[in-house]
Amino acid sequence: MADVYSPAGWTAEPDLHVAKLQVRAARPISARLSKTIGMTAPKPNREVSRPGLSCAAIAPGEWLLVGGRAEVDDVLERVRGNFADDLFLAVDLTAGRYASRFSGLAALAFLSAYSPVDFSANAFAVGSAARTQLGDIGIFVTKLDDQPTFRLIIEQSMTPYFHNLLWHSRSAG
Amino acid sequence: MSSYRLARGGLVDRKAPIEFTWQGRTHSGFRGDTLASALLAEGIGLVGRSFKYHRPRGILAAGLDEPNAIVQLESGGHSTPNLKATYVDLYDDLKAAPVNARPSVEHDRMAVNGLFKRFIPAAFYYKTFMWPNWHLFEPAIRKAAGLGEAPREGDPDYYDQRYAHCDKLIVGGGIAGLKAALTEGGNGHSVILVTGGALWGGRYAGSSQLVENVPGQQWIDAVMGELRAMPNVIVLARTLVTGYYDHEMLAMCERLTDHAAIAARSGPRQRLWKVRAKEVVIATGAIERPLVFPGNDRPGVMLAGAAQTFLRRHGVAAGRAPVVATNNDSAWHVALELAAAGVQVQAIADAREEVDARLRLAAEQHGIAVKLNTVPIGVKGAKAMNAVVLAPLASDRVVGKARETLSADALLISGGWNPVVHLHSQAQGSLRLDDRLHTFVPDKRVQANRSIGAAAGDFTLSGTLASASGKAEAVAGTDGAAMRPIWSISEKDEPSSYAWVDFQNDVTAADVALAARENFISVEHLKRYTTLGMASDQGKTSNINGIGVMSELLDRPMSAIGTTKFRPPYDPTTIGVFAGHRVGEGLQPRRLLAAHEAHLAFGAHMEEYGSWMRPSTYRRGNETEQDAVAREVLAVRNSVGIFEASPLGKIEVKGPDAATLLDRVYVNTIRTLKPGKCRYGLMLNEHGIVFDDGIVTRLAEDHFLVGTTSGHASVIAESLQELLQCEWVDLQVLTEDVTTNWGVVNIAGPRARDLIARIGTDIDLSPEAFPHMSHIEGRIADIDCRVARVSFSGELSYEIAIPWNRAAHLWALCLQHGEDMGVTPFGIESLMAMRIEKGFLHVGSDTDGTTLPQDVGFGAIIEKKKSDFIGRRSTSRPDGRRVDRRQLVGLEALDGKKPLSVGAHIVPDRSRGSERSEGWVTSSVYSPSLDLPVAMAMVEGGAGRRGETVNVWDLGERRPARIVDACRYDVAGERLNG
Repeated sequence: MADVYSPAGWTAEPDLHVAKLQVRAARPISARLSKTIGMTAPKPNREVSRPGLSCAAIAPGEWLLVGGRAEVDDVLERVRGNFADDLFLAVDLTAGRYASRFSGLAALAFLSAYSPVDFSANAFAVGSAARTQLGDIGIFVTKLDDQPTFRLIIEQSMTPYFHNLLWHSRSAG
Repeated sequence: MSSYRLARGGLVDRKAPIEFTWQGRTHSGFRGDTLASALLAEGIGLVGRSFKYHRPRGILAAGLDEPNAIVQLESGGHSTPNLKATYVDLYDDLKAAPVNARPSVEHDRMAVNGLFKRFIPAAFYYKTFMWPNWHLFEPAIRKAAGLGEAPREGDPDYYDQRYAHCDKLIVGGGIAGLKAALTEGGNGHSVILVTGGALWGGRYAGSSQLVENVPGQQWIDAVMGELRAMPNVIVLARTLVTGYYDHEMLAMCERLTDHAAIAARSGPRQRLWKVRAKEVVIATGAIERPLVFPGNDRPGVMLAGAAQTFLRRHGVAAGRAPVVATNNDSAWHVALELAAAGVQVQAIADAREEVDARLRLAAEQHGIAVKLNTVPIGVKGAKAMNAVVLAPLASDRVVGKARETLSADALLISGGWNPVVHLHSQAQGSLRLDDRLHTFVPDKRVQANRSIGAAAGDFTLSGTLASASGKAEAVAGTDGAAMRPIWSISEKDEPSSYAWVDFQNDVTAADVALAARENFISVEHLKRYTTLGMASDQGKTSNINGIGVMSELLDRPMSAIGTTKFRPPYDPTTIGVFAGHRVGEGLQPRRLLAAHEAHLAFGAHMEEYGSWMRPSTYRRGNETEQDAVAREVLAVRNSVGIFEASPLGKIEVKGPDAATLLDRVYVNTIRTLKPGKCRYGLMLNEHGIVFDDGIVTRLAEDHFLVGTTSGHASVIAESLQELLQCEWVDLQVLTEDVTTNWGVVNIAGPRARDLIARIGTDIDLSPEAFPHMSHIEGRIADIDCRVARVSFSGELSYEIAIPWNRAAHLWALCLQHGEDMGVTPFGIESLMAMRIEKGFLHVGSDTDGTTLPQDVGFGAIIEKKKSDFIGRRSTSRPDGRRVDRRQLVGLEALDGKKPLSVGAHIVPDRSRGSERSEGWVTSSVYSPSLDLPVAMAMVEGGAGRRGETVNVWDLGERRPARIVDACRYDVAGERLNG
């Protein structure tokens, strides 16, 4: 069954919380964002992390927050204070996303099969983040380590399609 | 030799014999053979029939330029038509047969076409089958035409796709490609090196000809060893670059298992590579041109270079006693190599009056007769040749009277070489005519690529090695003496009607002359008029000859004739590899509802609606769909029903300018909406056409929730982003598509309020506190939720949005707490029945690509609205103001209880003397609530024709119907507002 196919090296992350922050401000926000997330704000297409929380810059004025429930909620709460004077939209997307990790060469082959991004070690180093395509759906990818391990976040209603792709790429590589 | 396989030589594994079947008979070859080389080795020279005249044909080439040996491989699901035998690797138990030949290639019934050849020249069918009607003849012509047969069974294989990125993509595995890869790999670049066939080395594969002072095959082995040891180099054999697109994007088809016995195949059959390269090195070599002379299509006539390839790679002689005919030096080397291998080469006929003395001496030392200023003018034998007729040239295309007939079982020809410029051209590079080579070579390039070696017209080994290693630019030229361009050979001034230019499509030099006479002199017209270059080989051996013939006929330089456009794919490519994972369940993403399992458990009949799998009905026992719809509708009308509406689009729109944005997007005025209230809205595209509808909710002064139809959620979310980023950058608005964050359970029916109360909520559900078209956030079953009191069924209705992962729980609670109420899950079809009863618009069903908002009752709203919105201007064009536009109305069948057919035409009463369609039925159902059929229709001037009787025409049947109001149920809206 394609919809339950789970290759070696792949694990779901059902407890991961995901939120998206959009800010439109008249003045620079890097310092306030760093203060809000508790670490230096990420550069474009990069992700920064601390225990329990990662933050990726996915577009101008847009960040994806990923981590434990408490940590993500805490940041969302601080957003309301630190950006009270700005236009912002902070949305908890946890219920709408499906997160997983995939490690090893099979992960690299899987992503290379369906995504046009260059995931080679030189082009996509640890800490890189990309919002791109996976087959016919959108995906958010970050590289967590050099195994390589990738975190993959898709829209949750696409889960059956995602597993179908995993199954179809069973001999890729 | 007992067969055409020489005792020595070639790269085949003589310890690994392979049995295969050709036309039902068993033959044998060796591992490393192609189907073509194995057939040649077995002495099988007749391998195909031509497309039009069904003339007997033999193997002409050794690669993808082969026009004759077109075969059907295997049977059943594995069957593949139109493969070139020269490109099919031999494997155990391979089964192949010729195409276009019945019952066999030796005795082809359709060969009778050849008897009528003079009556059916190029374009005869354009002229002949015009009267009385082309369609009268088309079926028979189509049946007679065509090559192989597509398999009727499903494809048992699957196909991979992958992306790749590199600094240098080197296309071509010949000496040029290998040297370039070695250089670029050594420089530390990431390199992908590909070759279309199974072997590396191109024409040098199996050769002892020296390359950098090392015998060719040894050089190839050494270089491949070095390349395979480089971690930054990927080498891919059996990988054909099929297309070169923008920004150095190339498509490649890798054949993974095609060379293995069917029983031994596992994994994907082929893989489509989509490669982004920083630079592309085109080392695709060159294709030899045939000589165009009467009888040049007979089995036994082969390109000299092909004969060399069969000798070097497979140890196979193209003939025991061949004659060589050429206009350039290259075929001399082939003749000498064949002679050195023990083949009795009878003669070399060269069109030139002088040749290199060293070549002539070498030929004579091998006992080969040399005949200068001489060309072939005929071939003896029908299905196998036994002699060649030679004649002296009196001019560049007409022979003198003398004839000499030489016994020969093969004629190896060379009319010069054409660089494979396809990829350079596909990358928008220009071509120029080279005066020495008499062919087109790459000129200006547009993308980051460079052609090297023969692909650049450089036929010198030293030049090729220099340009491949980056030490010099490639320069077109040869080591040998100049060639003599010979485009067609004839006994008369007129080109011969038996001198073939395009072998596969049966186009002769006389056909080109006919096109010229009839003024189809543009190269593009020549192609379409004669079909030259339109076969599955895309004119690889014929295009330049065709241009040459036309050039001679018009007395214009070839550069003035030009070339046709080179387009991908380079060679026919299996559709499956383009589909990749997009088959079966992977055809497109299929999305599941939040309570999918619960629906299945309740007997839902699932269907796909705009990529979502949703219950159409929940049929019980032997219920038909109509039975189930009736039961579900009545349950909702009389008690309570539940429906999962999770796919409805939900887009958060926030910011001080949010109302301004939505005012510009909706036909309706949004800024007047109060917080906590909902409004039905219509969206148009820029042409004023109805695009989507839904409920807009004002969550707060600066915060809205935009509801869209299920199929348009992501499109509208992206459209809003585009408007904000590109059109109205001054608006202070942020948006986020939260459609799948929220599962939605719709509770509808007169007891909906009771059911929610039973489940437990802190929301005041009273009509006063929570009236129709309002919105409240609260808790139901201790779950935070957003509840909108909106209705598409016409009943008291609540849409409860809760976190997606809690929706199944709420669904279960509804079933549990509503059991004694007879709570009934209802599907899409039941919802549709109820909305038709109410006359509610369904965008997509009741609208099409011409529907303006005034056609569906929004004219007054537009008139009232003061501000502009997308599509407004287009709604007021003269066409939009016509009073006879089709308008949405209701229809009442007057002849019983059978629902009207959707799509049936509205035609006036016959007494009006017109049969013209005045519209059509857009929605129709048998109404369980009213116990009669109800329908909606778009009818010309419909709004002003209420009460009029019309005919509804469907497939010859006429039914009387009356135009009525669309709303047929609870017209006052009391139930909705209750």
